[in-house]
Amino acid sequence: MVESSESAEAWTRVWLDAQKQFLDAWQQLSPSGGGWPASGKLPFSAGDSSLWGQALDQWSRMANLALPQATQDVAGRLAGLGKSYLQMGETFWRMLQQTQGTDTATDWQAVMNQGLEQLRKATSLGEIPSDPWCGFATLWGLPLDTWKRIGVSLSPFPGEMEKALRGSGVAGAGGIPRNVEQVLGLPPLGYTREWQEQVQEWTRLSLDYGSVMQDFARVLAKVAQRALELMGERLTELSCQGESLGGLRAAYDLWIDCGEAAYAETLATPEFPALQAELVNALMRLKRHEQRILDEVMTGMNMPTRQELDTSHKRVYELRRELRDLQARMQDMDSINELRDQLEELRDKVDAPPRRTTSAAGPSAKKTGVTRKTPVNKKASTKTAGRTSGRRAQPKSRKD
Amino acid sequence: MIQTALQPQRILEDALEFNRKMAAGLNSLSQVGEVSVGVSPKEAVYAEDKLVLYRYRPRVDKPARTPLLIVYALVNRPYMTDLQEDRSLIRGLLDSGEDVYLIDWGYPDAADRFLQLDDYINGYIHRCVAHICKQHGLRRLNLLGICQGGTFSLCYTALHPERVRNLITMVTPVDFHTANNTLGQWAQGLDVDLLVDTVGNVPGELLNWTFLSMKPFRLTGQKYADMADMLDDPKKLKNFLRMEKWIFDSPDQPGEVFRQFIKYFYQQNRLVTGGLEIGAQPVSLQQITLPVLNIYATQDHLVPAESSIALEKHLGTSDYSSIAFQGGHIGIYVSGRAQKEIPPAIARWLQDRSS
Repeated sequence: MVESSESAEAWTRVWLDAQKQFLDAWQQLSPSGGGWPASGKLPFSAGDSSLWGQALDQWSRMANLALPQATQDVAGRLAGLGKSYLQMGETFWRMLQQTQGTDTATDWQAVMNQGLEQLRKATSLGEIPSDPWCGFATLWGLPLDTWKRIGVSLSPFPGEMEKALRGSGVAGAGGIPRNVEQVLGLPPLGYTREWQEQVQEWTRLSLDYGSVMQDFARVLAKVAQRALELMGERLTELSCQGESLGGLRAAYDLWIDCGEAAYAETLATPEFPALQAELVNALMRLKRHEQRILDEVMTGMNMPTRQELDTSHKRVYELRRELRDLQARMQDMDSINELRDQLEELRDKVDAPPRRTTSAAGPSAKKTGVTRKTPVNKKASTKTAGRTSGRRAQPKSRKD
Repeated sequence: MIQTALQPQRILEDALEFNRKMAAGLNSLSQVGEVSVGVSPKEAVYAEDKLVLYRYRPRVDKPARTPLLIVYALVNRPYMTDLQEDRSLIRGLLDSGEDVYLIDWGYPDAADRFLQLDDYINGYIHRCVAHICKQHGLRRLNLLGICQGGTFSLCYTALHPERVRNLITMVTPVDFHTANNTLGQWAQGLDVDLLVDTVGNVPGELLNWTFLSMKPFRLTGQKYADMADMLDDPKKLKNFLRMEKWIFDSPDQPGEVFRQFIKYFYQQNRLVTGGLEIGAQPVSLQQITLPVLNIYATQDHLVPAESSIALEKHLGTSDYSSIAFQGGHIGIYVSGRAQKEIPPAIARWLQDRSS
């Protein structure tokens, strides 16, 4: 723990120094400090190549080195938030640069609204890129990325298969050109026809999944657009009231509020839950087929398959159920046998001539004891005992 | 008017401040240490497969004579009821004089894939109840079902009324087809046969995605912005990390149970519309004639209040009470107000029915 803490402090110093140097450099380059580079590569940009993005990636790496396993995941999520947050900062900063030198609330609000509208138009639905992971649906950290992780974690293939194949024209969400379908229509032939068929089917299912993913991304993009609309409206309201956002964090919170409001509108439509369900269904159809392929490969290597394991587990489960049923029946049988013995004993007592000896020694005394406890009325005794057994012996004398 | 305008310089300052918090946060995070959960002393009194039945150490000299068994959901882990000392439903119940037991379902694996509702309700729960009753020399106990565990408890009570003295349900879904039940609407289109046949046990990650999708902006974004704000407060940070651990500590769901639960409850709504059978025995809420206390959260986004409130009109009992907690699905366990309101209310209600 001490080691870990010291390491964290050292890394923190290094990182903080780097950030300070970077910020100083940035301040000098900014318009007020002498001008901004024409290339427009801002420190805020959260893209992988941006300085801030790099800094946060560096922070994540430090976190992985310095933090215990339990907190590494949450540190990763924090860094992810940081990227979205700073990406938003960049966008707003760019917009507000135009208000430099002006001094009215109306100016900043008007400029912000104008900027938001431009952002909305620039990402109109027709311009959603074919790769849904990179589109407007992921604006400032929308939740499509969460689904991406699910898709990867459920894949029986190693790594990010979909990502690996993206752009190759073979597979991937949105990565497969539709004209591939023509190829899929060709009949498989020859010695490997079965395998060809499997691959064709896998490609077809990948296409279907990619198509649903596109639809899902399109809906999320609409949510983002609606959120921008709402944000513009709220900014106008604020401005009318003579208030401001107060800062980047307030702007971020407003974006979250507007995002949730826009998302709630979409969630309330019957189409969205259906689409969300279909997203899972499409992924499952693909995964199921992948499993079949893998099972065939495993069989070829004389290795146990998922299907075989499932069969074994099911049989074990069914055997356990049967065993429990048998045990329960045996318990019932034990009770019945016990009652039967008692009944026989009673019958013997009733049928046998009464003994005249009254000496209290040994087993005969015990037998007498049992007999005395039993009601004399044979019919009544049998009926009562039978009913108790049927209820699985619920003693009447229990406390409660 | 200049004070009311959002300035580019302010954005820069905020970005730098965020940066500073992140840097300092690495220190705080490294010093947080083990994130412990489940604070009240307890002992395992019964175990079977992955299940462990715990008894909590009473905190009063003479605890209630009838023990209280908590049946938690299969989704997420039951330590939410005993997260930390000042956020513990269980501790509150113990302080109120209850003798508390809890079923921990454990982490099902592939060998548990074929377990059915019958195995959980007529099997595991029934044997836990029998064990506790035997230990206490009682015929019946008090049952407290939470969320999905509440639905299980309703089924159990309907099937084994002779074993339950009083039933309490917390944030329990009953009517799965109320208008605002987003999970219910989502489940309608789900091909659960395909899902279970494909993945076997349903991964906890998939359920997490579903839950996060209910409020994605807050739960995948804003929450971590809040976390950045508390990085310099070790106590708050640790509380946050505890909650975070619970949210993502999601056991996989045994496939067949999930299939049945989605079909019978979410898709067919059989608890309300009828036709529910578990272990070939019919289950009807009308069979529940013992006292029932129903606690629901008015801002519950996972189990809408309407879904729980529906219980009243389907029960056979004449002794029905309810508590509307002003909060959400999680707040009902961990909020400060919940600590003050919920455990004493449960204890009072039970006490009124103890004679």
